[in-house]
Amino acid sequence: METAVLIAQCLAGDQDAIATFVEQSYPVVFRLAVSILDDPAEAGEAAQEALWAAVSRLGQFRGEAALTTWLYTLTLNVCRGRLRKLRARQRLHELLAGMLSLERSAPAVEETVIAHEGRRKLWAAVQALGEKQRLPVILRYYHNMPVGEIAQILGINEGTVHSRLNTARARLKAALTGGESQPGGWNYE
Amino acid sequence: MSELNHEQAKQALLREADGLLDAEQAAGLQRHLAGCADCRHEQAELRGLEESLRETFREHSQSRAMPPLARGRVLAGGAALSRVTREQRMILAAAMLALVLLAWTVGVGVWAGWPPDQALRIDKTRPATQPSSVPTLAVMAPSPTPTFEPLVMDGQEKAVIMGRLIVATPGPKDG
Repeated sequence: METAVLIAQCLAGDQDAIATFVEQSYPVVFRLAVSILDDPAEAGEAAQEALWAAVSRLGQFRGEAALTTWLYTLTLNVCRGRLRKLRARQRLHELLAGMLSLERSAPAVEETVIAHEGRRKLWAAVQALGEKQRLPVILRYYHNMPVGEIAQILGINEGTVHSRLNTARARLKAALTGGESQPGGWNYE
Repeated sequence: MSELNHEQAKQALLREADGLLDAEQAAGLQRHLAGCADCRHEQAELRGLEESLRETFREHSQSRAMPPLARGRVLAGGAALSRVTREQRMILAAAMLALVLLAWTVGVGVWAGWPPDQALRIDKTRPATQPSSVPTLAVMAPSPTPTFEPLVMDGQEKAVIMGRLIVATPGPKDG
């Protein structure tokens, strides 16, 4: 079914159309959420939260952007909120672990599912990037998005996306080679 | 068109990676690369990193199974969200109405009882102690005890304090 027709039916209150919209959108939204949150259960929750938001705000979709871009923007906002909570929880856990001399928790999931040593190292380097660099890298290389669409989703201009990607690539290169990110690197920010 | 120098070529490599080169700029880069081994090496490294990133993410994506969609929950959630919005609007409207009523009540109270020295009609010339036969409003007065000039209406002594009409009752008679 064409997107515009589906949205019109959803807005008219057609429950079957809403169910179709949710089912069609879930894999797209989940894939973005899991690439950011790195936890299928958490990503599933985030995807469903983003879809609630999408269903309840479908009337605000004006069609200037593609539907997937709009969905990505909603999902990204949900994921950012969840990331902040996860990090706060993690910091609290680390603090308590330090104070109470607790044992370290089990190895992170990515350490067990990415088999190739080099890719595991690269994944860790991506996770170590700040959010400003990490999100453009994920959108560009995980989701193969053009810079223009990334700019739209993140609400920044194309030049800034390009600059953040350059910084990220320089840091990743440095992390993989054990060198500095500036001299001879790709950092032209 | 002038040829790219080494630094410009590096910049162009990064722009090419992000799909930001137009055809003319891309042709200029190719001309530079044809004669520059350093930049070809740079390009190979950059492409290697990009390919590693894509492979890493592909592997990550395949390893993350999608949990089943709780369709009913999402739809109920959507409906609940709409309900919450309506409820929030009603609460907001009720809160605003309550605020207006409160402001009106306070306003009327202040208007009726302000300024207090006029409303209470404090008589500063009168002694603080009064004959016991004179009715007193001392129980109502703040410290130091002011005296009030009672209004005599309908044969009763009355005073207006903070917008309320206080009817004084006679004190005990002497002896």
